Amino acid sequence: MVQKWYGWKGTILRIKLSNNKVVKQDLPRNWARDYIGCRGINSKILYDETKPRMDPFSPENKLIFGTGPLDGTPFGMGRMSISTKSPRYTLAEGGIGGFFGPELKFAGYDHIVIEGKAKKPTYIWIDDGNIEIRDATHIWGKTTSETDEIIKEEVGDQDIQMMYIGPAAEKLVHACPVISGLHHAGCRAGCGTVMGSKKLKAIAVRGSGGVKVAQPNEVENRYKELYELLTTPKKMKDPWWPSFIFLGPALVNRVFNDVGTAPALNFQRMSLSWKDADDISGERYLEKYVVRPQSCFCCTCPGCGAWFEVNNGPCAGTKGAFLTALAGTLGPLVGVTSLPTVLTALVLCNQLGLDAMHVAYSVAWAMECFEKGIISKKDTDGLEFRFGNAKAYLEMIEKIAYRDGFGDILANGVEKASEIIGRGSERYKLTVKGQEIEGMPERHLYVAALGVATDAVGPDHTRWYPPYLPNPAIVSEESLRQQGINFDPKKASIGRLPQGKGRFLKFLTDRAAVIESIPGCIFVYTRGILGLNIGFLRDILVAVTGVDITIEELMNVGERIVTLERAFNVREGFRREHDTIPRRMLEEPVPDKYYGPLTQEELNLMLDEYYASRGWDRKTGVPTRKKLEELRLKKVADEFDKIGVKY
Amino acid sequence: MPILHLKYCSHITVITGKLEETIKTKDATANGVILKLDEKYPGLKKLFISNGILNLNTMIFLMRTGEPTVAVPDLNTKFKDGDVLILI
Repeated sequence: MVQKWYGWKGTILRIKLSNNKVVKQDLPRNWARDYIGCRGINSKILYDETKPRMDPFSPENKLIFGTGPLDGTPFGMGRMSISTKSPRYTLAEGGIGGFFGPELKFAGYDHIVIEGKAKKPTYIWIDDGNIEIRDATHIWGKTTSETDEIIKEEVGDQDIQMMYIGPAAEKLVHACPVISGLHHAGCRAGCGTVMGSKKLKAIAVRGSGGVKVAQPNEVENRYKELYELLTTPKKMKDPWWPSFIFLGPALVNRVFNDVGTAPALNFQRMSLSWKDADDISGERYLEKYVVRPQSCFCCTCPGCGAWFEVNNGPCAGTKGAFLTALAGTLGPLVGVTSLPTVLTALVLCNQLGLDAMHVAYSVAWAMECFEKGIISKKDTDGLEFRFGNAKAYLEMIEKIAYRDGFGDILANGVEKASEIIGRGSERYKLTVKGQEIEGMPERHLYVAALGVATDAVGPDHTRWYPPYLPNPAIVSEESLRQQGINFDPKKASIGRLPQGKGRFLKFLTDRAAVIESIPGCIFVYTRGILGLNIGFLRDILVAVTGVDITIEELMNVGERIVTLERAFNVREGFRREHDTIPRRMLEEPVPDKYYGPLTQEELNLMLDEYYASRGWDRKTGVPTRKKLEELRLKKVADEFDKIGVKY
Repeated sequence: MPILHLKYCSHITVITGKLEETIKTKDATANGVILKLDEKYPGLKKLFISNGILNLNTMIFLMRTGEPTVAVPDLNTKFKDGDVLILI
């Protein structure tokens, strides 16, 4: 008798672009048990089906879109995961919200694995069980909004969901994400770039089914509980949550500046003047530009995203949706404090399919080099590339996307650009494993520094968020014991104390891997609901899937995923020496906020503790055979032996 | 009497109607400041204090010249002249 699936649909869709073949594969039940879905199964497929040192732009690379058992239910909040081998040779994985994930489930699929490379520009149309690989020659070169419009017109349905790339990814610009629903960007580690290399412009999907749940009454009760937890201030477990509901991620724009965590002027400073910070604040944003809220599928957080319009001034006519805390980064990094300029930069990045962080850090690095006399107008196509030059900033975004002039150099990412320019410019690059960092205050919150240094993808805060704990007063000893938490929450709450951060990060990363595989929104679950207790999420998973799993088993799944992802990088040659943070954070103090650098000794201490807590070799950062076997990853240990990985 | 610079964020601005202000207070503790503000902005105390401790859903950051910014841990925390507080 065929066993029914609840939560999962039980089908992986494999699309082979080289010969236009489509294969439907049953989802192995042991994968669902050991990796759950979404990020977990994506990583499993990627590890098993790619070879070490494979060229990321070769047809052998896989591009995987993954949902999880909670997708299509209100608990999943539209989250899903996109994975591939990054053009930087690390694992590339990133979550994305919106509506594509649920629609894919409604069409009947858990994962899409894109294989091979199309001979000409192509898009995929999934209409429940019917799958077509269509010509996209006429869309190649179009912006994301144009692509959205054309495909909807061709399909004759305005309600389909899509993933697409912009012109930047077509030109293999570094770190391009995949864009969905015009304003959601996923996987800034280059999934869009790899999609461009496969000549795949878009995937469109329409589903008419639903998601079966195992225990409908329990699901209803859990949803009522979830709703109450997220909307009743007294039940919230995080001091940021009420503000998050009110302003969404834009809340951080002003607060981060004031507390000294705004990455100003290429991280030379950690704050702007108060007036400048007020000008780009979430409060001003809400007052002047927001026209209506925007959230992901079934999400109860109304303020998380917002549609905006700029009606006056040089940026008049800019319209879009804001779904991340980017204003707190995109402006201060390059010294721009005009909110309309920041919003225009964001819209341009989404339209052209660029990673906004890559763009902002590239421009900030170039501006610092310009001000220090390392580069001149001769290098920058005649642009006066000083901090605060909004016009040059916006102009350079288009140049990067189309690889025009100096933009062609920046299109390679800061790491490569600094190698091309040389002349000491390498000193000012802010990258880890070749990827531009985000807005995390490494010198202020040490656990954030450790997360940035060690993550398999590179800098991606969503893979270990949040870098602080809920108030230790609400942490029960029982919940700590259940989840195997062996660090002191009070000590872990102290930002600039290296001790305990390794064990704290292990917990955060394992838990994030679980949340992103089930999936749920890392912000909503960690901030709004869970505190330090993943038990509520476990109860939801059981109600939806009917699979009985303990909290301990769930955390083991998280550890297995993180270790497998580490193994992917180990296979590519990444070791302890690559687990670091930019020189600036290790050597320079923050003069305007009175704290010193995070020293190499402190980072070493945290790395030692992190590897020890994970059962990874301290000298190399390679997962040991003992740990791999404990996590049922013996095949990985055997492969390490075969290819000569040394501990 | 110490002079404190207060900055209000997100939903707190709905109660205060402003983004920042300067106050003088005799009782320069976290508790004293909240009580003083509650006189001007009724309801603010309820937002920040429950069962005699700082509410878990709120945060007060203390910025003092020459020192890194910290979150105020409890209601007895004393402030000095020139301190800047962020209420969120």
